[in-house]
Amino acid sequence: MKFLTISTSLIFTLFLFSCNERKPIGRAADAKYLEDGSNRGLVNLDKINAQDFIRAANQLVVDLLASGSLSEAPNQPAILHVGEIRNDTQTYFDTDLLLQGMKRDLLASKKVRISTTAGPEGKISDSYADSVRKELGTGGDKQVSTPRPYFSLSGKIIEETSRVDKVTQKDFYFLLTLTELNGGTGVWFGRELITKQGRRGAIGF
Amino acid sequence: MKKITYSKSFFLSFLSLIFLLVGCAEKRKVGTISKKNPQDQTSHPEVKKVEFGGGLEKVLDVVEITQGKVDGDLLRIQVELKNNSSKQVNITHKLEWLDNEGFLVKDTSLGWRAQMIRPGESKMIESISTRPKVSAFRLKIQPAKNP
Repeated sequence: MKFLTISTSLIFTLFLFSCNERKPIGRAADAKYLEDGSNRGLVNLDKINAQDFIRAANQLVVDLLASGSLSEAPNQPAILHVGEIRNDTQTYFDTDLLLQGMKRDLLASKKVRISTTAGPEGKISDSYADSVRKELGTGGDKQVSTPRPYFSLSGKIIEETSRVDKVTQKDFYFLLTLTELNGGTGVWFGRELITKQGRRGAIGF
Repeated sequence: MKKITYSKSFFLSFLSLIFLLVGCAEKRKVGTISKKNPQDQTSHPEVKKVEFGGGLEKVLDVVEITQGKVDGDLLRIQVELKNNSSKQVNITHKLEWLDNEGFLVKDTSLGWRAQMIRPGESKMIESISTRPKVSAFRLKIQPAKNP
């Protein structure tokens, strides 16, 4: 009777485990996916994390829209040239991590159209589109319009470090300037500061 | 007699585990602030009843929602939160915009961000929708992990 009970339990346990998904053995097997902008992502003191780029992009777009500068252009929606954003921090990253989100939101707001053919070749602009347009333009194609950007957006990202005892503070400044090209003057000066303070990085916030 | 003691201790351990699990879930419960009527276009729309968790229900109050328009078509909102306790409150929040048809708008506001509110302090959470056809929002609030 006892043997029967043990055998039945063993077979049942084996059956349960065989239905279960296969997992790597060991404590470190805990990789998982996080949603975009999650509050469970890593928080590093020495670099700008994904959630920081999302927050900075959103705050800068909100500030730009609230300023009303874009609606001052005589022709709506105005054409915006997005220039270079200099990374003056200690870590390398592509500034498109900030700019792509901003461009998406600004375009969706229908307050601007964003030029992708104006600017230095290959870096900011689409060089293929630019060369095709030039060819068509010289060939006299009347469908090719050459609207000039009314605004230009440029800026830089700066990092500042301070330490007291074992506590480190990192300040990341996102500084953007919107220039009205006719007058050559700045019409909006955006500033978003992301400050992190602590002894070491954390998982989630 | 011994059997009863074992059963009791097993039952108590099981109950403790359930309480522990429920307690952990409650600690990071997300509270959502929104307009009672999503189509309400008044400057101070009525706030839908909020159910905060993780102890926030005892300390945090939604004072009011203010809304307006930027450039005539972009919804602008401001939510005033007040910390009624004598302790600092650390929260994380995320704003979701909903268009006229109730669909979620995917923009850069969909990211959690940290916020600290001092004892007795009121803080404004403000944003502008980046899409013209947005009429409603949901502000999600969760206790911060690292206070």
